[in-house]
Amino acid sequence: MRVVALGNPDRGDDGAALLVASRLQEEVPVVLAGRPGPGLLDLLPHDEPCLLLDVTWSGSPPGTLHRIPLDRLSPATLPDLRVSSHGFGPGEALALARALGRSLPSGLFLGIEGEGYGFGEGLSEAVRGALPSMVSAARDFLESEGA
Amino acid sequence: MSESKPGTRDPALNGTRNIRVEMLTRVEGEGRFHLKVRDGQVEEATLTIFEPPRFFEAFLVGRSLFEVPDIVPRICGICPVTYQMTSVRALEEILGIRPTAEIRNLRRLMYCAEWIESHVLHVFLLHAPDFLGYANALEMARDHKALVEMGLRMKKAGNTLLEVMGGRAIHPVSPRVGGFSKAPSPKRLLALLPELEWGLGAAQETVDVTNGLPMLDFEQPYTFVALDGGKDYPIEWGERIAVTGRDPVALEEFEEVFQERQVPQSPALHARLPDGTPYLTGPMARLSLFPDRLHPLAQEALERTGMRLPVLNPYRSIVVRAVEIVHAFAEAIDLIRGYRGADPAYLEAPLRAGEGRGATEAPRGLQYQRHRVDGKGLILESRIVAPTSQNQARIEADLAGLAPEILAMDDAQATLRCEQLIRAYDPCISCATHFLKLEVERG
Repeated sequence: MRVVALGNPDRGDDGAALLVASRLQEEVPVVLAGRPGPGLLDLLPHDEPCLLLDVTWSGSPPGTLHRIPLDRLSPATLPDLRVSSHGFGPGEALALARALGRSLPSGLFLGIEGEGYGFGEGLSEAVRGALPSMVSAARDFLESEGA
Repeated sequence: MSESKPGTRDPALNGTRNIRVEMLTRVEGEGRFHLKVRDGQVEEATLTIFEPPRFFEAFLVGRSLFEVPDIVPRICGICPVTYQMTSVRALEEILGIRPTAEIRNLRRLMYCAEWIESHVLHVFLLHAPDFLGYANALEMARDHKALVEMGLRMKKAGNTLLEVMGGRAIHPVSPRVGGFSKAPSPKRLLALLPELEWGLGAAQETVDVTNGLPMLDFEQPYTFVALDGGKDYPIEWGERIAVTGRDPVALEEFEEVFQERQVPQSPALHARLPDGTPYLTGPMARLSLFPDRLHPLAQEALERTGMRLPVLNPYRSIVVRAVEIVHAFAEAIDLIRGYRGADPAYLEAPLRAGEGRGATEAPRGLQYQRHRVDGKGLILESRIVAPTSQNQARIEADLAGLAPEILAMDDAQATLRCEQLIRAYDPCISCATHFLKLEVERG
């Protein structure tokens, strides 16, 4: 099992997935990856299940959890989810893998809807309140995979 | 993209025409371009960009100078090394620290890694689709698998080098004021050589591939600005700044000569020379001002292209970046072969009040930082000038120059052409172009 978390801890809610990942660190190997762009493909192994944690910006109420199987993640399945900066988020990275004919990693994308992305640490109230449910959802997945 | 044919103006397009290009991303890149043309004359060409460095300047006040190299790389996920090392250079000047040759070489090696990562990402995934007629890298990847795989492997070689040097791939943690908290072992670096040697060959191939792309014919009268790195190609070291056709500028004079001014049409400050001339920093500036300082293998690749210097066509920047990728791989290999370890890994000096300046070359251009600290080493004032904001006025001038050609185009074509030109400068916002939104008002 591999857990990869994306985001920037100095930009408000953008650090939410990193916080969730840090709570899982004692249970499973965790990679805090910032925003790796296409480099994400090097972080997701093909021979073990992966849990990808990120923050989403889709227009859903802040704190909403989005669960998408990794092999279905693409810009098309996330038409309005601007899931990462630099225009090359996890959807684009996996779509690139598909376009190149590479085998796709298996596992789950778990995203939490953010609200504010200002400078500095600290989550919005809505995201902070929903963080325990994201940790639970992550643990549920890890348990289901026998991690 | 094919050879350009200057657009013939459609009389129906007379009157006022507004082209707005909205660029949005969640965090780092945020920008907008607005071109207003009335009766064939450009009335306004405004590129609005969001400037995270300004917020970080306030952030730093009251923090210890030792925290600065850990805070500033968070400004950008693409060039954290530049933010980190430019701050370190300014802070070391305050403390009177002169890094050893070994530490300087390790820093240069880190820059090579960052240049490889950033330039390869731009060349293969952001810029090449424009030349090959694809909307984005995903579409291009389906038809050019081998090319994209080559780019991804080159980028990974840069990532791995950065990870070994910085302790991790994103936002490196080992650099500090005075050197590195821990220097890598020669053995760990030597293990990277085979992949870097493969990368060098791939980079040489990239020069030939990019040089064969169909280019638009569009030249502009650039005033180039780049760090003068002495006998070396401008990367991490230099006490003065070279400017096309003008006297070099000492770092102490930076803010006096490269003036940032408020302009009525934009909330961002515009950098210009004292006489109002906009200028360009970045790969075209470095290569045009210092071609003889390139690594011999990069010089060889440059000669093979037959490219005329100075490079005045911004679309050719894709070839220039490819030449700089050759330089970065070749120099990284040389530095690793010559590395015997760095002991001590960092130098220390007593705290003292003062002010220091540093400038280095990010992949996309010159970065300058000035910090002032009190006797306890707490930051009193910081100034961070990033390359994209310096290039902004020049990019706007180029977009205005493009106006006669795009007047005859429909809005979709005109937007695309503007995007392509903006992308040629690899501004931080170029990464955000998947989120473009166009609004048109017709007069």
